[in-house]
Amino acid sequence: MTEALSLWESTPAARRSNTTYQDSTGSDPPPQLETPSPAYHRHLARPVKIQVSAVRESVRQVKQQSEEKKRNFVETVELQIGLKNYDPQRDKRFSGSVRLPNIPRPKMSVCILGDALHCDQAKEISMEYQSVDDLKKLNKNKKQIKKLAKKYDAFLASEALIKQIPRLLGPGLHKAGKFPTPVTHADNIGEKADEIRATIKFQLKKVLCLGVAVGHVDMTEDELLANIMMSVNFLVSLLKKHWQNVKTLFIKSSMNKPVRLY
Amino acid sequence: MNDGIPPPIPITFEPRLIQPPLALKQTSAFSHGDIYIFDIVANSSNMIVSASNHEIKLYNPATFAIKNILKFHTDTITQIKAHGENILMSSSKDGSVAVWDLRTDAGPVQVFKTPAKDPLLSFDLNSSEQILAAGTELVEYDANIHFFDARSNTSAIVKTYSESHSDDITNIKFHPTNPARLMTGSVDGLICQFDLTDMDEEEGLMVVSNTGASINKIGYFGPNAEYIYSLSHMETLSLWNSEDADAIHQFGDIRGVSNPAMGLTLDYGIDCQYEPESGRLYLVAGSNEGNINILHVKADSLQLCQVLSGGHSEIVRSTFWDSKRGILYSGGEDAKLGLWNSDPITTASSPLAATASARHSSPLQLKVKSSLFERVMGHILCLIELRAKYTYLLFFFDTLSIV
Repeated sequence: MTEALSLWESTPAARRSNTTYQDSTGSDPPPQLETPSPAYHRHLARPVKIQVSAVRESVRQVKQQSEEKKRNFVETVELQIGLKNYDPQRDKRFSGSVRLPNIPRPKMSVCILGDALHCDQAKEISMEYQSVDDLKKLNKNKKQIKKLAKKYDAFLASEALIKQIPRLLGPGLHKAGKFPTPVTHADNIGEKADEIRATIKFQLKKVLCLGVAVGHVDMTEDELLANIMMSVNFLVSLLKKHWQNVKTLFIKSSMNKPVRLY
Repeated sequence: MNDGIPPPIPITFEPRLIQPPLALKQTSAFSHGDIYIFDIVANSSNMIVSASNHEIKLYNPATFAIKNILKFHTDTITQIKAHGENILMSSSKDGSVAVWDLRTDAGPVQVFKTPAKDPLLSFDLNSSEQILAAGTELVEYDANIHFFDARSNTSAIVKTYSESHSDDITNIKFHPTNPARLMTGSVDGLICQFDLTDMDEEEGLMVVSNTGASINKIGYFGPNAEYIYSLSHMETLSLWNSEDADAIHQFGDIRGVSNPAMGLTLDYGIDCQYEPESGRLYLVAGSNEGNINILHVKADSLQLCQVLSGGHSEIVRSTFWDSKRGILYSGGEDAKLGLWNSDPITTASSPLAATASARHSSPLQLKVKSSLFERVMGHILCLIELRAKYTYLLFFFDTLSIV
């Protein structure tokens, strides 16, 4: 797909190398800076408002709470952010997703809509899969497609197949928010599935608080810590006034009281 | 990406693409009080500005003298679009698209309403001016695309598509020349392209690109609209083929181009703009302190063309850049409007502009030869280079069509 040259493109040599621009007008290429200093991230140049040690302590508390009242399911650990100085009616939309270092939802079921190669690979790692023929058998029946959408939490699809999905399934997966993520033959489908399991979505709508699942109580302290720090840093970086927009931060396990971080 | 910092994106400096450079000519306050400017569109007779107080103001585009205030919407104005010299269309969360004749003082000449007052986030008119499509917020479980007959006097909805998106529809873009081709973008990350010939949602859904990120702005670009750009709310930029919906390049988080040595701070994308004359795609992006950065987007790399500073002190929400005439309008959360142009005479005379141009001169710019002759030669050589690539590209596509 990237073989097709585009009108606005530079020479092929420059395409391969991301850091040089071969100026064919003959003059010297403009001076380049290779690696900008880490200080370009101004929000981190300011003092970080939460100490890792304090977060670790809160994580310990959350795990302890969960230990004390053992449930018969694995409780999710949620990060709750209260915002201030932010007006959802007119400030820029706060919406996106972030990939966490450790999978917060390991039980998330992923099914691959695969071509021959991907179906074979799926068989090998015991991943659920559907082939083109399986999809054709659904005959664009809305009920069946809805059933498929409900059965799994997320979908992958071979690149070649993705183009056929509107023809095979119509908008059946769209409404459920489960349109597949593309995978190529070069990708490792197990890793791609884990990528999906590790990515959390967040969106602020009308109220000034936001909750995201950052882990579960069976994760180690270090794993929870890494996930929490990553989420907090990423979310704060997207806020206009960074830490000035954060009023409160809590973490809690599903069935217990919130523990304050900030 | 283990600590929330986006990986650095290599950026080079290429100021020759905007010559002569833009400089701040004038600023003006939209009104007193705590107002955000949301959107700006301009033509030769009007500069039209929408703001967070639900007002639309008409200005003289050269002097910023206020010509008229358009009051009608009762909720956030989500998009404005000029049509020809005298028509303006505006959409709002109050559930309506209003059509204004800018020559009259009266209210809207026509209002298209959604019966349930579905908050409208985006709209577009197709190239034959027959179909008006508008995208809604997610209401309960539905995010709808409503179609109206733009030629009729009634504002009845002709058709609604409700299956294709699972969250707020932030972008509705018709193909620039094909009146039956529509593209929609949503917070759910999907870019859906439809063939509207039979007005059937299922049969008409042609291709879908899953950008994987909440979509802020999308648009067609290329000499025949063969490509699509997508800017997300997480400040990622990606480019796609519009025919087969394949990804061309994912730039990732564009904040990664920030480079203090170049005077470049990039905190958010504003929009992309395609310049048909040169075949170039530009990205206009801003800093939290009010800088406007103009970058040239290539197939897999970015070039900084110019940093416009000194016009704003807060987030810049909208720019309108007429690159042919060398004029750029800007508006931000500081309620300020800015006029930038490349007119050398007026920029020299205004002390404000002189300060701004001194500020935006980066130390690197001194190394670029700036004599008029060399600038013009650089321009011509760029165009010759592009012509050669275009010819090669036509040849390449001809070869493809045989296969």
